Amino acid sequence: MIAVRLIDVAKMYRTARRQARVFEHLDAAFPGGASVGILGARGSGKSTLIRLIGGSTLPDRGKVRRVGSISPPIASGQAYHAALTGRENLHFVARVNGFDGEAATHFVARFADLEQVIDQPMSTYTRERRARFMFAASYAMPFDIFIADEALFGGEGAFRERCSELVQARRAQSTLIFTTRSPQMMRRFADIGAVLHGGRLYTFPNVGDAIRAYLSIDRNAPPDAGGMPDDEEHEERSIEEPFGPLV
Amino acid sequence: MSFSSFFTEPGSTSRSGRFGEGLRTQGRVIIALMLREMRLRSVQSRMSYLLALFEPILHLAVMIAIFTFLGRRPDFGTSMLLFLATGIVPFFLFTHVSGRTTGAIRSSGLVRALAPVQPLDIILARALLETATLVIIGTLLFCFIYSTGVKEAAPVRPMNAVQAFAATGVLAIGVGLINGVIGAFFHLWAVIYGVSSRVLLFTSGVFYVPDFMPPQVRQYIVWNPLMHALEWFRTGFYLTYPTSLLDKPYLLGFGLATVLIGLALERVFRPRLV
Repeated sequence: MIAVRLIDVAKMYRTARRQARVFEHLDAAFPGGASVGILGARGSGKSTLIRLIGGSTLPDRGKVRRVGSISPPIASGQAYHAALTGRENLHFVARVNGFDGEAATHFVARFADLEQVIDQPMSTYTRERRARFMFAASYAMPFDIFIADEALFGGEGAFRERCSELVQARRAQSTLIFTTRSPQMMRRFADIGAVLHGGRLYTFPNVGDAIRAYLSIDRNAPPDAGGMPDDEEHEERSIEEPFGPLV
Repeated sequence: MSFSSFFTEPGSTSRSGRFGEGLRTQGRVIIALMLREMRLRSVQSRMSYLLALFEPILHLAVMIAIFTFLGRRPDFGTSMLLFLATGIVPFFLFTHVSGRTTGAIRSSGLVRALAPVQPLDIILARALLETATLVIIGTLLFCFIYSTGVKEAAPVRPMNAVQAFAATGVLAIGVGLINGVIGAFFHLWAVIYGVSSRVLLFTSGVFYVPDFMPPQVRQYIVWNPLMHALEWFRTGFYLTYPTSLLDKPYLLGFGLATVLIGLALERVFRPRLV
């Protein structure tokens, strides 16, 4: 079964100075139940692809078909209102998607250790608490498809470890589609590799083949056996975050 | 692929089943948005949503005070309060619903944050919340007027009042859809529409009976669909209200046309509604 299918998608961005043609005839299919990691250099359109899949941007032409419910990108805070409490925000997102808000709240409070602040407005959260809330909330509901743009897990210390285990657990239950520039992340979390290059998506059943193909294209890619690439990724994500961090 | 997996594929359900599912999703999303909006209006204090409820009532009180000071008699019936209330309720229904949808998409901050939430849902949720608010205000207001001893405040033909209210709601949501799309592109539109819709206060017959106007005036105000809405609404309260100008098909047709235009605009500009 195919969870997400893109058919002849074209997408262009207009800015005041120039037009950027991101995709012209993009076709792609993501099988259900698998974890697909998408490698791509800077500016290859990874974020646009994730936004197209998640429906946060619409294609100029072509179709995006999804089967089942889809999560907002992992750790995106756009749906949360700073004046509402964590509980209220979770209830809203759960209600919109037809899930159990109380169960999600319970999960986030326990998992991210936020029992004391879950009923406080989110504007009062510290930076670290906010990050923990975002990541825990992203995985708190049983979506059929999870999507992530660079950031799959985050936070600090023990939470970071538990969060990465949580990603592995969700990956076993649902479809996961994520982009990354790190071969190490591919090895850890992907079942199927894909490389986005020149407006086309090349899929490799073997993750190693995808990494080799990517390294041959992108000379600036981080080396395969680096330390922890996630911090650098997190910074890159906040730069690329088009709507800014949660106020 | 085996046959069993073919039958369990969610995309293979019948067309009517998918339509029902879509409708359920839309209902769920709109209710969730309405609850969020209500909660957001009472962020500063628990009283602020209550104050929003009473804003039209305060407005009415100011108007009553002015007219009493001027020593004006109601154009129809014996109670100035009831005459103005029967005019102001449909008038506020229209201006509040159609006006507040203008900034709905931007102020929600939710554009395409969640896959099931579409711009149309955001506009409709705001419009339905305003309509529901006006239903509560209207009911409270007429109960209050009844309790002050004006027995006509209990509608003699309740169905007329309900139908007129519903027709006004359709018109308001239609204009609201159009405003919602325009407002997403043109930020000043809320101000422009807010000012220009005030003109309707004088052309819809809130303070007067349109049938009693001289023909020079009547020939212009008869084009205003909201005037028909007010006439229709008042027939629910006054048994002998003059309705030679009332044209229900005009109001309904105007309302449906605006709904269709609004939906078409939303469809055309959907990729750019940010």
